[in-house]
Parts: sequence; structure tokens; C-alpha cells
Amino acid sequence: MPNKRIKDGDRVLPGDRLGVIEEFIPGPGTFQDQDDIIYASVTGLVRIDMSERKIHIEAITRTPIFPQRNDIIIGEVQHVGKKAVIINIFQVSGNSCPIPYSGSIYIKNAAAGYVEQMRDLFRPGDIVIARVQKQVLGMARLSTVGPRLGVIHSLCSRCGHSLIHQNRRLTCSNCGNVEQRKLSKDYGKIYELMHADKSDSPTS
Amino acid sequence: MNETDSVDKVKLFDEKGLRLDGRRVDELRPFKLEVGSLSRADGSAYIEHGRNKILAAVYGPRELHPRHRAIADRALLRVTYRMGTFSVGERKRPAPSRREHEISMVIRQALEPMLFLEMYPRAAIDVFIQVLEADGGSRCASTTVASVALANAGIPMRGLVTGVAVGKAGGKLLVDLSDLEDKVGEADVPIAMAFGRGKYTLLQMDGKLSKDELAKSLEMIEGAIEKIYEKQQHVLREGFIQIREEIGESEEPSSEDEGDGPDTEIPGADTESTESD
Repeated sequence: MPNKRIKDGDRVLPGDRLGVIEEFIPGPGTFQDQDDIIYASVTGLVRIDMSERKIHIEAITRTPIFPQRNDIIIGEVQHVGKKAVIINIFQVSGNSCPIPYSGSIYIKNAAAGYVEQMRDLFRPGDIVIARVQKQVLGMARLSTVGPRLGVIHSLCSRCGHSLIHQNRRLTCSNCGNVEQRKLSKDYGKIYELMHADKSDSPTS
Repeated sequence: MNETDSVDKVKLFDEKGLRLDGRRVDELRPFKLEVGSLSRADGSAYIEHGRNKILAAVYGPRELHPRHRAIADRALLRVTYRMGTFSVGERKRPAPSRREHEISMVIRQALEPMLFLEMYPRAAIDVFIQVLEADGGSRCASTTVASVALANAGIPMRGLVTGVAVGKAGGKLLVDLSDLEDKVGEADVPIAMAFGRGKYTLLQMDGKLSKDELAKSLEMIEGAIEKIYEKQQHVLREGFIQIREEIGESEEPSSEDEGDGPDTEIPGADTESTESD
């Protein structure tokens, strides 16, 4: 259908031509090829935002679960570096993520204030809730700035028992060791956060 | 030498120049395409092309096992083409044959360039193709049906892939060879094409064709591919209406009501409502 002009609400299939690059900014479900033409990459409805000149496809098929911009993810801290931590993402917007996917939090995006080093905020094994900022090279750039974002579960680095948040301190339930984290307001509610809906157990 | 033998043995055309099944040289066999045939797969499709009956199921993107086969920057596409033991005249032995391995590979290579595999690093996308009944040109029909199943699974694609064979039998160039024409004939050229993009993704040649004949057959095939491509699009659009109706039943219509709305009054905004919960 090369001659037909695409309207908002049209049904399109993968490979359908949507317009040229001068007309729209391609969004999710679309792609631009070497020939500067925008095509659809999924089956769905065309959504055109003329005020921003953006076009995207609202998929009508199942969409593979995959962390995307502004999604809230839950993951485990895999590695803590000096300036960044690596997170293994296992839940995306309430659905368990079928693909092993990792993300990183850079020190600038970890907390609102000045942070000396990442060890003060995260430790390996912590369960973290974070927001996806963007995708870079098959990895998600995450942010934990915000009261609800941050660590929701952590273990004592000395004895391995869970840390409990009481009296504004993070204390080990076993040895009394006091630790420091970038805490989420929902610290300790890990079960509720992970099983909020139909998603199955993330640990498989 | 071979060609004269075979033509003498089997008569491939009648007096009017029509083929054994009454087709013209550039005519396709009857075909039928369905989407969403399997309920447990992420995406599925079924094709009947001539006597071919083929099911395709797509799973994924999902976690890849064994892990060491994972590719750091893109997904691994795994295509498994299998023929049922009952799919051919003589019972096929159930072990995957050399031929099945080869066909799995060529179908994978025909589909791969059309997929955005780099969107799902370290994951696997599995395509299972089960041939229930085999006629000539099953690799082409499999490519066609697999690409529909992938679209049904919502995997981002650059376009649909369509396969048809062309060949030469009884001294004539023929589109969409049947099993007999393939076996008796002089050449068989399976072709898969991303028709919308005008790109070939599979071209094999078994037998002999001259340069001119090959060029001629590529011309002949365009019409046939276009027909199947239209059917692929049609069937995906239809399946798409079904899905919309399912959504319409389960969820209340959302507030967005601007430009859309020819005949179906179903909300499209299902993703937003699930996010907010």
C-alpha cells in the first residue's frame, strides 16, 4: 500500500510503510531504514501525535515483556563498582521478565544528593526497585532517584541475615550490625511488590 | 540425457499445455493460511499449500538454555523444521535427518534478516515448524507460515517473508512445483522474499537452469509471491480483528476516541490499563 496515506487509527502490519522521516519522529513499533522511510515493525494501530510529530504503533498482538523507558523494574544487585552498579532485572512493570536482562545505575542517578561512592548505597544481593531511563547497547540505564525507588530488601554483609528498617536505621536482625543503603519508602515490602498481580514467581 | 528420460516417463502437461493438476505454468496451488492455531504458543500459524500441511509455533523471546549459546548483543533465532513420520508416502524415520537440519538452517537464514534480534540480547526465539503432510515446496511454505507466526507472536519485524518455488520440468519453467514436478523435473529453485521490501532472503537451486532461465523465473515468481504476501497480510489483519474483539470483551472501552473507528468499537489502550494496576 505505498500510495495510501497513513492516518491515526489505521491497522498496520510489519513492513507497512508509514511515511518518510521528514513527516514523523519514529517511536515504538516503528523503524527507519536506510531509505529514510518509516515502516511498522509490529501488528497494531497507528498512533500519530501531530503536536509532537511522533508516530508509534500500539501493538494489538502480545508484546514481549521487555524493559522500556519509564518502566518500573525490580532486580538484584549483581556487582557494585565505584561509580555504578549492575542490576539483574527480573521483573518489569509487575510482569516477570522472561529474558535475562541487565541494567546499570550510574552514581549520578542513584540518589538525589551527593554520593561519595556506590558502596554506601548498594551491596551485591540487594533487591532494588528502579526506573528505566533509556536503553543503551542492550542494557537499561536505571535511576533510583525518588522516595519509592531504591533498595527494598537487603542482607547483612557480616552474617547474611535480613536487615530490618527500624528507628530510621537499617539493623541486622541477628548480629545488630548497622548498615547504610539508598532505601525505598517500601523497604521490607518485597513480597507485596513482587506479587502485586498475576506475575509468577520471579525466581525460577 | 536425464531430462529426456523423465519427460518420456511422465507426462507433465495435457494437450492444452496445462499441468497435471490443471494449473497454468505460472499458477499457484490452492492455499489456505490461518493464524493463532495453537493456544499455548506465543504465536502460531497454519498453512495448507497444495497438499502441504504445516504448523508453525513461535516461543519467545525467552531465556536461552544452554546459556553458553547466548549472544551478548542479540537474540538467538532457533528454527526447527520437522516432518511427521506420517507426512510422506513411505514412513519417514523419526530421527531428524540431514535434510531437516538443512531446511531448518535455510529457513532460519531466510527469516533472520527480517527480525530485530538486537532488541532482545541474550534471549532465544524458538520457531518450531511441524510438517503434517508434505508436498513439493515445503521449505517455501514453511518460511511463509513461520513469518506469519512470528508476526502473530508480536516479534518486531522489518517485514513479512514469503516463499515460493520456481523450477523447470518437462522443458518449461513452472511456478510453485508440486512434488512430482519437483522429482521428475530438471531444476527446482526455492525462493523466499521480503516482498514489501523487495529483497530476496532465500535462493537455492537444485538442478540446472541457464542464466536467462533463472532471470525469467525470478520474473515469473513475483506475481505468485505477491499473491501469497497479500494472503499473509489479509490473514494477519483478520486475526487482528479477532484479538481486538477478545480485548473488547474483557475490558471496558477506554476514553481515547479520536481518529480511530471505522467499524470496530474496541479499545486499543490495553497496555495502559494494565500498567496502572
